[in-house]
Amino acid sequence: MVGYYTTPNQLREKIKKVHSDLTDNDMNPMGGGTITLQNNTDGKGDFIAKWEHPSLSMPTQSQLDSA
Amino acid sequence: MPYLGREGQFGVRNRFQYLASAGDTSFSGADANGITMTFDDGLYVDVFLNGVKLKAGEDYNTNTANTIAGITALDANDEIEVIAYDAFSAADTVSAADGGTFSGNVAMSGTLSVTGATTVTGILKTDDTTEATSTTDGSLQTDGGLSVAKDAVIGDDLKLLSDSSVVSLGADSDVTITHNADKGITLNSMDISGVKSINGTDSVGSRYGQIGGNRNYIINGDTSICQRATSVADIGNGDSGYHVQDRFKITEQGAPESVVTMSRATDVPDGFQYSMKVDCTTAESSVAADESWWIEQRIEGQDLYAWCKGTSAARPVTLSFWVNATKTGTNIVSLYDADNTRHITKSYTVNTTNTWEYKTITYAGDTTGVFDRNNGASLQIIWWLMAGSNFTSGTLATSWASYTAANAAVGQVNNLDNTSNNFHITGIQLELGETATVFQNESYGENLAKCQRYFYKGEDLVYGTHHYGSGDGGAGYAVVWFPVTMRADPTVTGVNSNSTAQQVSKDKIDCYRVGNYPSFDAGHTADAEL
Repeated sequence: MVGYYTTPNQLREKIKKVHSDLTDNDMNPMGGGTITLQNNTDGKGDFIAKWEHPSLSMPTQSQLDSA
Repeated sequence: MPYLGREGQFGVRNRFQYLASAGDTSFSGADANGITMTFDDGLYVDVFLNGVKLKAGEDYNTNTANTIAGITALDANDEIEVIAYDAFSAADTVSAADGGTFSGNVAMSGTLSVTGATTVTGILKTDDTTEATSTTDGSLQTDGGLSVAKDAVIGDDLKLLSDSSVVSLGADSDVTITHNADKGITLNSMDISGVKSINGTDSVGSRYGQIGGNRNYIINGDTSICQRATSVADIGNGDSGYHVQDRFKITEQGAPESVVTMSRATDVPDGFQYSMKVDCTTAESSVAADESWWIEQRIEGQDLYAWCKGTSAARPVTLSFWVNATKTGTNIVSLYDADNTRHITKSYTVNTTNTWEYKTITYAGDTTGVFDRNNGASLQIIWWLMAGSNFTSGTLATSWASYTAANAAVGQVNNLDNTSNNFHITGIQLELGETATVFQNESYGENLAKCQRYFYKGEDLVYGTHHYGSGDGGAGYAVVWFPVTMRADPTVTGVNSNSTAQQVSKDKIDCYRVGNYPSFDAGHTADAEL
């Protein structure tokens, strides 16, 4: 599983740094987004639950860590 | 100690002893022991002279009260002994062992303890005036329940001490008023009729509220502001966005074949001027799994701090609105936390076709996931009109939880399955607390100004100034100040200038044009919607 950052914002901003074309709406499943970030409130933090973007590939953990 | 007779300290038999003086013929008063002789009835007295019983009526008489008289003159030191018996009737008693009936009044100065049931044919009355301050004081107490067949009249306060006390009305308790500790009271989703005013403001139903105040998180809740257009037809696949009412967006997912006309309608419940109308013009007869259609409003996170979301003090909110739909059945309204990818969804029922109905839905506070304090879209309020199985195959998320599509719209009917279908909504209010209050009416100007933070449409053509000069042939400048500071730097349309010279901010558009007047078209727009 990729992700596990403290807040969705932190993960969201890192994804936007990896793929600068992405917007908040792309990561909003209730806003037509194809990417879903999730937190199961299990203390592990937020992660990428679904990545169905038609052209961009899901970033790797190392890409996120260095972003 | 039990006794028969007058009083316990006397007993039933009293002895009086006198020592005669020579010539004495009567005795009364204190005897040789200082005891004063008394008796109720001479028939119950025995008199002895030196141990020999005298004969009543011949040897003595009791004609004078408490006096033995008529005795033959005595010698000195003769001994007279009088035995007096108390008069009582053995038949006029109540048995301690077997019980019985007192036919007259019974007065008691001590405590009366009764182990069994007590039946009082007459009035049970206590004249004690002790105040009741708990369940164990006051002049009338019971450790159990109290049932009263007729009216109860209470001269002063009525106190229900439980934090979850309920006042139930009706034989089947169909209407209840519940105490929410430290918060208020809840009526179990029933109507209140006959209310003339609330806090001094005239009120009928939940429509006529005062102008002003800031209870309502929904902007343009009366659906009156439509800067873009008052009617737009052929809204179909790929047309997600803002079309008619300011602040209300329609969103499609998948590739629905349904097409609608959105408009500002005058079909309204009493107390409103307009409603938002969705008129199905092409039906969606078979909803694909990934298809959905909804109306939503998005709210900035910085406006939601009072919800205390993501803290132990998270507060509930209540959504209320009027709906009139052709399609009857279950509909879903969701709150979606875009910052934390969480949602809560509740259902409401359209009971009667094409009839205005008032709905209230209360959502619990969420102790997980703090809203961002910025100008981004943190919260979406979503009225589903259609949902495919991707959104209905789970269990409705009636408590806040991480977003799961399958739990988002379980039970949602398809409002777009027939071209005869219409869906109207107005009077939309979202407020803190568990109780829907009267709709907060606003003036048109107030409402418009709130909308213009997100979208502005300049109605008139605006020209800038043109300065002639040499070289580049002159240039012109123009500026339009927005009526209110916008949420973010907007996307503008209808500006005629050298695009590279445009400067757009939250407050204004500056433009520069070489060789001509810069101008803003009639109907130029600035869009900073969420």
